[in-house]
Amino acid sequence: MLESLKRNGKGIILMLISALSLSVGQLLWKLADVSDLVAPLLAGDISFAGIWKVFLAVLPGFVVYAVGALIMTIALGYGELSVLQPVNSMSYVFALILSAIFLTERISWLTIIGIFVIIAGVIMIGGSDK
Amino acid sequence: MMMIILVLLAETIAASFASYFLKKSANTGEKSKAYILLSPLFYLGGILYVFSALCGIYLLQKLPYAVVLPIGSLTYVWTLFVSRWLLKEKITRRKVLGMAVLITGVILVGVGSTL
Repeated sequence: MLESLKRNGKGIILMLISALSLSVGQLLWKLADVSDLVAPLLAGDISFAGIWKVFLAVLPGFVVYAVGALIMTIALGYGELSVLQPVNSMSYVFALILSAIFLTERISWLTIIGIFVIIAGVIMIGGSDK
Repeated sequence: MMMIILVLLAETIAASFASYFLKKSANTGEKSKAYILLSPLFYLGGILYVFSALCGIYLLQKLPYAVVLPIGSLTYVWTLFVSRWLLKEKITRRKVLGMAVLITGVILVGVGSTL
């Protein structure tokens, strides 16, 4: 198991960085309320607040996503897809933590247990190639 | 209902193939990673991810987050099949077990979000 974790170490670490950037992108979009923003923009109702949100949160969010995708691609070059892709599920965990910090969203005890179970699953899969 | 199931399958299958194409584009044979940006497969993967995300946004309007999140982890199950069939990777018992643990965790997080 440790051997496998070592062999895939580079890929796993890059996948974790990618997962982190995906959750940062998601946080930026959440901060900008993208879902509330798109409808008025499509209807041609362009407000000043809408514009600054686009430049300060939506575009940076998009860039962070794109960089995350590139890092993920580099990561996938370092190991098996069936081992590395599940590491991406850590983005759920990072997103929950970021939301708790920056959006002061409450995390229930069951969610915290779930986070540890996800981490256990990722470690098991990371230690399972060959 | 039928529509929701179709979008669900589209969301997860697209995400799974997206990662397959990204993996394919990672092996450019060149030393510099920058060559990835020249690979059409990288953009194909990216488009599939965006498509998957749009499906996810649609689903969130129809179903609660606590349901959409765990179902999204079906992606990893499809990836096991894709890895085996298209990349000839070995799917060990431990991988499947780890996957079951991971999905259990995602379900707990989903249910936990309703508390």
